[in-house]
Amino acid sequence: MLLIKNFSKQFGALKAVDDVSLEVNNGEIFCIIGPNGAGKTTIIKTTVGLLAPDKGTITVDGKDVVAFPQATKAIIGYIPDDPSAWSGMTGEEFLHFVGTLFGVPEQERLDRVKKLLSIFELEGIEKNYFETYSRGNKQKFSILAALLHKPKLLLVDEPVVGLDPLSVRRVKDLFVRLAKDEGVSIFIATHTLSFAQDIATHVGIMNHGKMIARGTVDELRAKANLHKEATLEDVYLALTGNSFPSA
Amino acid sequence: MIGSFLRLFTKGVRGYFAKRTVPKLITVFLFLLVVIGVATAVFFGVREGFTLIQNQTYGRQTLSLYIYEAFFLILGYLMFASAIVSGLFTLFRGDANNWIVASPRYKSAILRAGFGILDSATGTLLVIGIPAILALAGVYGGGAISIPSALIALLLLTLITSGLAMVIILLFATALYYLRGPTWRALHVKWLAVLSGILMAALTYGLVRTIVGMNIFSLFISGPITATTANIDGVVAAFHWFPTTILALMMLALQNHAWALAWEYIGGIAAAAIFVMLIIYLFSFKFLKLWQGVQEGSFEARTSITAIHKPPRAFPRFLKSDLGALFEKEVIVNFRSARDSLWVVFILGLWVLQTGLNIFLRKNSANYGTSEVNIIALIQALQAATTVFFTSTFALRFVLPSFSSDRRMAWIMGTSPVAPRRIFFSKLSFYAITFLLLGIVVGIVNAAILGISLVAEGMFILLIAVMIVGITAFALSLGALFPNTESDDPETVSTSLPGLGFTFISLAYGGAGAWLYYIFLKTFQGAAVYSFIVGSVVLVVLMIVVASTRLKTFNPFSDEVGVEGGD
Repeated sequence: MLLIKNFSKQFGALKAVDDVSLEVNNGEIFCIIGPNGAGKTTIIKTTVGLLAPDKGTITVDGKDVVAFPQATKAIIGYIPDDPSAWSGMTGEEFLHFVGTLFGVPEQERLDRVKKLLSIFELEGIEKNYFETYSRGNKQKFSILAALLHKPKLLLVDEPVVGLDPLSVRRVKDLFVRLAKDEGVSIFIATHTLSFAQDIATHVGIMNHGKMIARGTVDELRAKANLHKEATLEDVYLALTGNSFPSA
Repeated sequence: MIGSFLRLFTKGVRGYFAKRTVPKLITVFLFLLVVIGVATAVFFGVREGFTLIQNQTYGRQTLSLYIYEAFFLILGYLMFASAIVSGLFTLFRGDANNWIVASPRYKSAILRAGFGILDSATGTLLVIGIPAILALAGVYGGGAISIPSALIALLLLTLITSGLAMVIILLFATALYYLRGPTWRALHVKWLAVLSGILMAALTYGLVRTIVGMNIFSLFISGPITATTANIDGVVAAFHWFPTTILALMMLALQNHAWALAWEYIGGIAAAAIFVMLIIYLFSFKFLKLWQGVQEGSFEARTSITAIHKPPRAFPRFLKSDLGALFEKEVIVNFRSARDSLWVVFILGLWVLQTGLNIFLRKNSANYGTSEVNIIALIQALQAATTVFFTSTFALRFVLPSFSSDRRMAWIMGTSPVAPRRIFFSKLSFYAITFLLLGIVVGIVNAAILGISLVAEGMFILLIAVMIVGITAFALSLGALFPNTESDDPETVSTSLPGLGFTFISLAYGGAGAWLYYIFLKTFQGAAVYSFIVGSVVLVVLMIVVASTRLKTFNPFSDEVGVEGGD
């Protein structure tokens, strides 16, 4: 579904992404982890069309994102790290607005909005203005907005920032269900390593714009020469060259 | 604390020039050129005007006083109304307020807001006030005393108008604080904006009624017919209700070199300023409670807070398709913003004021010693220029920053499969329709007041319709092709290089259109104005074609525009 080949992106003197290649197949959850400034968000923003690649290609469902932006955007759902929306728009209007931009018919929107609101028990606050929502509730609405048009590829930048533990659990269940039952490919950039460990089928570790390791969690453990019980955090620290004495 | 605010200000200036320095320096240079240009025009205009008045033995005093009264009244109104609009949000929604209110020096939040409001009011003072004072000193002499005296009075006026605006907002907030109940959250920016809007509308109405009710004959010829100089009583009586009258009398005293009397007036103004500052100081003890009250309930972290679930409602409500949704989004974003709505009330107030001035001129035109036809032609042409001026003001504040303001929501607009050019067309249709409705309604009302012919009215509507669409398309194209990447605040975006360029060009364009319309009204030779209209239509079409072609490959929501780093 998502194929990135030799992708590079530079901002002035800073090489944000350096020759990165990866693939996310149908039904896979690919979590990309790495320190701040590693290039994770740049990959997501380029795939969704907010940035243009300097080198390499990114294809979604076989179509190049630069050559066919409208077609690729139509099948992508994007959840940003900063879920800002127009302060005077209600949550319900916001969901319908995004749905309309993605061409979801009105009746289908009405049905899906009702169903989606129940995922996070947002019924009752959907008619309030966006400016009144907490960070967590804004995040929930942005997650629901990305799902309205039933995307084939979900791009998620920091999915659980500001969410309470129950909501985090719901997001995890939701993503796993979408991948398993509906074959949605999910690409997640996150710093919440426990979240990645729980749901990822594949993990990529980035540092200074380069993909330094990728594979399943077990494959990464092996690469880091760690035991079976080692957490993703241990793997991450080992592979990024950082180590801390055990508590 | 004042030192900290000043350091913050200088740091802000340095930060502003840190990136994209050259375009910003050009902007500042052009802005200074405009300021110097306006100031020079004010200086020479005032000097020439008052030199003429000086030679009028009979009407010297009354004419001067009338001009001072009108000037200070309008200046005071502008300063007060803009301080109300900016003050409401600076006091209760200012970004830095959270940090200050959370600090042990929380009382200084009101001081910081006061600086912000004063800062926005002093621009008018510098550009208009100082050159006018220098010109007056040149005509009447005694500059060593009159210049500092008038400057002090003007500074005090700024302090009073800004301070009074703050006091009124704080009074409204206090009233709402006590009115709030368990089910009605009265202390809310929305209700403060409603009260402020009503106050501004009432003020405008009062001002219009006063202007319309004035009679030039009784204003200037109220003394005995044998007197060698006109009596100022008529002017004093017409304006004595307005607090700005004391400034006008002070200026007259300075003009007559009656220094002691002038300083008596300045003393009165200073006392008023001290009184206003004292009230603000007293409010600083209450401010924390009011500020907390406004923030209350503006936050919903819980889910399913109410058992009463209202039936679902689709959006867009009236128009279908993505274009319809984008159009209705513009309606919601613009009309549900208390800040934007107050700006609209403010600008509309000025427009209504101008209409009132038309009625006054029409009523009194017979006394001007020129033919009524000429006066009506002049007023109607001024009306066309005014329509362009207000459309440009609206476009500068709302249309030009529209794409930049939406950049914060790039994750929605830039990642959807809707092409940027469709977003451009939805914005263009929304703003053009709104401005056309507004401009044509006001235009028809004014034409009815002036009683112009059907042909002249038809030409007027055609002309302003083309100019309104032209200005809107120009502002939107500039905003789409040169989005501001550093700020999504419409007020900041308006003062950028594209904003400055837009102001220059749109005002020159409007001036040309109004001038050609004036020629048409005087001669009824329509070739020039017809050519202007046809030329404008061609330009508008060209502009839309260029913008929409460029938007096929250029995404104004892309992070690529102005980005300097990435995670």
